[in-house]
Amino acid sequence: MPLPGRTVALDPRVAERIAHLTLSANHAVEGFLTGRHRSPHRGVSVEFVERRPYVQGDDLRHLDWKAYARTDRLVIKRYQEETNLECTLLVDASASMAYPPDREPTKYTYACQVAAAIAHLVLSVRDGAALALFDQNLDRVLSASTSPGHLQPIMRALAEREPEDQTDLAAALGRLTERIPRPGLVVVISDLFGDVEALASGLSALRARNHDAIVLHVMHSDEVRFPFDRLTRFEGMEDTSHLLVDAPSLREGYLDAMERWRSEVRRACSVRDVDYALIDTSVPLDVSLSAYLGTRMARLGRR
Amino acid sequence: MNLSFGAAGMLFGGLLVGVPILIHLLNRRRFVVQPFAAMRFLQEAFAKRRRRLHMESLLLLLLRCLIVLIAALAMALPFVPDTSPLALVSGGRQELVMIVDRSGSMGRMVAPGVTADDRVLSAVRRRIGRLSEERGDAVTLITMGSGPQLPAPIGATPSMALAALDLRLPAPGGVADLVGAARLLAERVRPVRPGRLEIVIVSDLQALSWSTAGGGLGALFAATLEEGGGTLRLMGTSGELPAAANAGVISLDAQSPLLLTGEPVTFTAVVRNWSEHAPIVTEGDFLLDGVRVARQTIELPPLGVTTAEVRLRVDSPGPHHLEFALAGDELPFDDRRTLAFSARDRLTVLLVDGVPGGADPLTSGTGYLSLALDPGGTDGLVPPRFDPIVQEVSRFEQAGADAERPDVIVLANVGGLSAAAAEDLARTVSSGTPLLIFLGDQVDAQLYAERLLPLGLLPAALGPVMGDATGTAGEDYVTISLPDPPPPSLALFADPRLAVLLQVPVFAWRELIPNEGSRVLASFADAVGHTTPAIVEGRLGRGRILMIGTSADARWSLLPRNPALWVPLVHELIGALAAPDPNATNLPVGQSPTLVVEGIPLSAQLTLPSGAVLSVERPASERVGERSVLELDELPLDEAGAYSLQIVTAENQSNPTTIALSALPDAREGDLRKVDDGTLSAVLSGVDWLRGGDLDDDVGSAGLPGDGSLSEALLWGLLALLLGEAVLARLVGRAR
Repeated sequence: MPLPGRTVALDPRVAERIAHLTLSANHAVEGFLTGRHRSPHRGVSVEFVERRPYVQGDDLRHLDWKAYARTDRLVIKRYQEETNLECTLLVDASASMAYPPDREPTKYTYACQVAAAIAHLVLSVRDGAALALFDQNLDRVLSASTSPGHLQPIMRALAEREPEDQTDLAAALGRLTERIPRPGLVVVISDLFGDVEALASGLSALRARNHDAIVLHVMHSDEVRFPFDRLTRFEGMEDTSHLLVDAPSLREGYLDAMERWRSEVRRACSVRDVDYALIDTSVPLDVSLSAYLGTRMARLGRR
Repeated sequence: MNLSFGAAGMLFGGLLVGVPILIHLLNRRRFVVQPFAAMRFLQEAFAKRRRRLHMESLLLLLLRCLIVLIAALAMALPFVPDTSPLALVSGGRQELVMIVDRSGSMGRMVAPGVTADDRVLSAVRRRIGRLSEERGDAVTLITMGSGPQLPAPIGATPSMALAALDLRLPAPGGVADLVGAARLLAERVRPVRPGRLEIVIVSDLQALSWSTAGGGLGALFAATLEEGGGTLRLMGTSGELPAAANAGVISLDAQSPLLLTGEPVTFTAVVRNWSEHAPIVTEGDFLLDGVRVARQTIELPPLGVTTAEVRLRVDSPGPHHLEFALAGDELPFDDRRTLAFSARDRLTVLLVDGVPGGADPLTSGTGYLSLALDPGGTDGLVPPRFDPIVQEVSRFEQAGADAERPDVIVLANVGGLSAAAAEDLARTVSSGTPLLIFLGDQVDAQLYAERLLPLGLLPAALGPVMGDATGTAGEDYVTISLPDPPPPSLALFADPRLAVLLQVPVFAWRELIPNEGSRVLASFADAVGHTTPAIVEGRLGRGRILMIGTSADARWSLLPRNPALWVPLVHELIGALAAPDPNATNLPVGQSPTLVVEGIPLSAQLTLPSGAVLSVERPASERVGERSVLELDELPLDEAGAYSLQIVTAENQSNPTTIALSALPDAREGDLRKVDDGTLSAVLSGVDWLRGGDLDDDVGSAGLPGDGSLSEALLWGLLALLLGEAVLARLVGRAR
């Protein structure tokens, strides 16, 4: 049951930053969407779309020399690369994503904004964007579409969903793999609170179908830093477990366990050639996203 | 483990151990609820640290409980005997209190040249010498004699106490004030030495001191011991010596309180044999200023009393000492007694006349008084005792009461005084100049009531004139009647041969209504036995005041016209008024003198009987009129005998005033009988005490248990626990 009046909307700051990304860092978008995921129809059709101002790093081969001669401005010609790339956003909507329950943004809210931003990027270059939400099951599946108007259904679907139930990422990945007909890009946005082995098996299944995958690990700063300093009764958000402890006395052990688990997650992604990024909800979304995109572009650029 | 406590009540503070437990339990209920997603990592960490967390929590709780318990224990001031294993940390420290009897009876000779006091002090030195400075032993000395005293600081180190004993202590004197010593112990020593005390009383167990101590003594010691624990041990001295045959001088007085040069005065010494069985025959010498002036043989039956008299004429004015000394016996301290006195050449009497006499001196009271005081016509064979000065009241008001430095002021039929003159007179009387008031027909009762009575110059309020002031009735009169016994100032007339003199008629008199505190010395009695106060005595400050209900002239009575009565009556009254108070200069051993001196004292120098000299600069004094009341608290008269005090005043620095003083031993100390066991038990009832035997036991040579305080060790332990708790709390991340 969605909360009344709840919507998923891009923060104006984020929207502006995203817009900037689309305009000034087109290669970043390209980096995000292409990379290893080469189009099977490469070189078949290249259609001129628009011009844009040159920015440092642009390929000089795409400079419009005629325009430069006429206007004395460096302008890049842009082309629509025809591809059948399909980006599926798999967003965790389990109960644990509702943390923190008493203030915004929750991990789910933050994850929705991440998903909306990526969908916005994908649709802005006319690629297909699909959405799937999951907890124990896979639900709310929106098929891929390249229409820019597809962003609204995606955001509505995200807003209507309320985090609940337990996480079963392996099951969700398994079912999603079955439902994507051809290789594409799967972006997992989740706190990943489940077995690492289940995550690993799900990612293996994706990779076996030649899907490219990115894991965006959404965590709240409380979970990263564990700042609690009093006698606290911790109550599980996905089950009825609870623990009354003097929080400072467990901090070190908790952080150790957390770091160990994150290492396992990172290794599970790494060995399967899956991108992994930790997204801290205390960091502004535009900063998180651009940082990740920049890193991904740089890494792909080295290849 | 024989543990005792200095403040056992503080042990109840141990109940506060419940506080950290309560806080611990309450804290378990004071938590915040935090929904949390990453529970699996918390549980994983908790599973690994569960056992350690419990141990840390329990250890912290245990430390905090221990802190409370040890704090309570330390505040309870625990002590352990040196036989306890805990003596290793307590050090077995001893806290010794020695109450040493240094009363006069301790001056008894127990061996040739050795007094009981010598033996006691020697034994006390040995006992203190066995204490250990390194162990932190402390000793408090209380001496009894000239009042309970602390010759060394409370809780002194053994070396400090020995140093105090090695200083020259005054000779034994006074009475052993056991209750005073016990009170000093309870009120001054106990508050600053709250731990276990080993109290040792060294006394000759004289019956006088112990039987008069009363049952409160045991209660005082019991309260002291109950508060901080300890033991009370009583050591006797010279217990094996036979009862001494002791004769003592129990008093020495002058027959007349007023000593004038050239007038023979009889001095009387009273001697007592304190022995119940042995008669005593001995010699007694009177010594005036150290020179023997008479020797008498004293014969005393057992417990008998006799007197020795000497009639002396002192020719030189000023301070003198008369001593009566018996041949030495076992108790020398009461074999001699000294009387300090001051001889005067003649007394100046200021006669203030309310009715100027004119040519005929027999018309005014001052004329009759002058004739009585200085009759003349004696061909110089007997020098006049008094030097009367007559002043009219107006002159008196103008010049001031003290202008002539009179020894006595007499108001004779003075109608009234101005307010200023009344205040001036009150100041002069307050400073010690006596005042004699004769009434008469000029006296304005209302003025007296308004100006003199409020200032305290009247020992009685004035009522109406009684009798027949005109003297026409003739038959209706009263006579002076003395009480039985008569006051000392009128004792002369108690002699039946002189009593008839008092039958001189008084026709008129004023009713006198004595003030509270005033004393009626004589009354007027009529033919049927009705009486009304005739002579009333009162005091204002340090001055005495006598008020006579009738006049000094012949208008109201025939007294002035009967020289056989009038002269001795005036002489006795003025002599009694002017006589110095012998108690001001003859003090019990241990007391400090309080004296009135002319001018402002700058320094005082006291020469002791031994010849030693003590000085005080700027002694404390209070200005009263032209005189100062000097309080020499710094100069107690600790030894029996003759003292000489020289006072330099601002007004007369080149010619110091010399005052003779005497310290009188308590005559009762001559009674060397010992207290019996029954009385001793009754006096010390309510407290557990040990009979420590005699001095031969060397004042507890059997060894007193040395009780050491654990407080210091506990406080160190407490500090360690606090540090441990802080470190542990920091390590486990708990806010304290």
